[in-house]
Amino acid sequence: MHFNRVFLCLFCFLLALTGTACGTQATAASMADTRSPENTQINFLDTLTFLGDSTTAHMATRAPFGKSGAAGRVWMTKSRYLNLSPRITYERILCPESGEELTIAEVAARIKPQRLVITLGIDYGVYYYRNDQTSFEFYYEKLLDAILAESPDTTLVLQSIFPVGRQSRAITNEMVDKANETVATIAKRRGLVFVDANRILKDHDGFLAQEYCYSDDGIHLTAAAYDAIFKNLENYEQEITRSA
Amino acid sequence: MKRYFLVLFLFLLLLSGCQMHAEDPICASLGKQISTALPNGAHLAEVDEDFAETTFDFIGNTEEHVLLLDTTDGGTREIGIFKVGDGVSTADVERGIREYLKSEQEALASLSALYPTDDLTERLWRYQNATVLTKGQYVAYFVLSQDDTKTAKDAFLTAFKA
Repeated sequence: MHFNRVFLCLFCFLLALTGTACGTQATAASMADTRSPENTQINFLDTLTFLGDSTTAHMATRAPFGKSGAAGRVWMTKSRYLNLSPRITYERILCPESGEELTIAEVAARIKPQRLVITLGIDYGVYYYRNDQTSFEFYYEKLLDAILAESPDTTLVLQSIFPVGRQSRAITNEMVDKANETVATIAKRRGLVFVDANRILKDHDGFLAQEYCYSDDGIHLTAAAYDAIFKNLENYEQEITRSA
Repeated sequence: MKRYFLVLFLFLLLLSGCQMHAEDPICASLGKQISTALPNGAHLAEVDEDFAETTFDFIGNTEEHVLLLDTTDGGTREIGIFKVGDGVSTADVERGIREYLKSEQEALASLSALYPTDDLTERLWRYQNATVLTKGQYVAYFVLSQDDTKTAKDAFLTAFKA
């Protein structure tokens, strides 16, 4: 009887000790998660909203938005394309809050995103303004002005127009590069960050790498491409944070 | 007597001159009359001047013009009215408009192939079937649905009979 009581006490003691150890480990694990670079990076990406043409629209289903999801983070038109043309400030996108079709400036007025990453030009501007960078620049800046007029505290981030694959017929990477020079110039003049995604998307021949090419048109991107784009954006975290 | 006839003649000349100016409608008012005649015409708003300047090479030679756009309509509605001035003929303006419409058709055709939505398909149809109309010194184009095109044409031509 005496020994049974001793064993019982010992057993309870060991049980209590095990429970405490597990709790400590769990706390340590969760603390480690909070401090890990992966968790910090996800938080930065969570502050980004994306506006652009069809290559941005597809982010809604292919980009690694993680637990926060894509809801409200990708601004697009109902048809998923967006032309950088004289109509850019009149075009209507879907307002994430209400689903109404509003102009980009109207959506900016409602949502007032902290950071707006703009990737725009492949659907129209790159080709039709290939010999008229003045108009390309004018309409790009007209859009930026319209957004800032309604949401002046939004940090605008200008991302490079993505490269095209070998399959692309009308649009060439020379045209894309020329347009990106214009976008980079705009960013520099306005003190905005220009995110160069093309250095990680291009292959050694200067085309969109085959593994990143989703469609036969050579323009649209795979989930792997968006993964690379997000990782690339993380490299610009400090620069973007400073530019606010 | 001769003096009276001279005065009367000069008066009639002056009167006919005034009548000519009174018959020349302003492009903006033409645009207003057309948009009033169209269903949801209030959504047709005048675009910024840069639209015309970057789209039409002939624009600097027109006496006046108006461009209206409605993006609330899924297929998009667009109306342009130009009054020719010195240095450009109605034929030049028509040519410029048709080049623009062709360019838009090409852009929409390639987008339509990728995104065959109802809105894009309708928008492409409207540009493919756009109407270009000349009346005197005025050239107008309508990128509208079939029914709206008929209404717009009637409203445009009626404005000159007033």
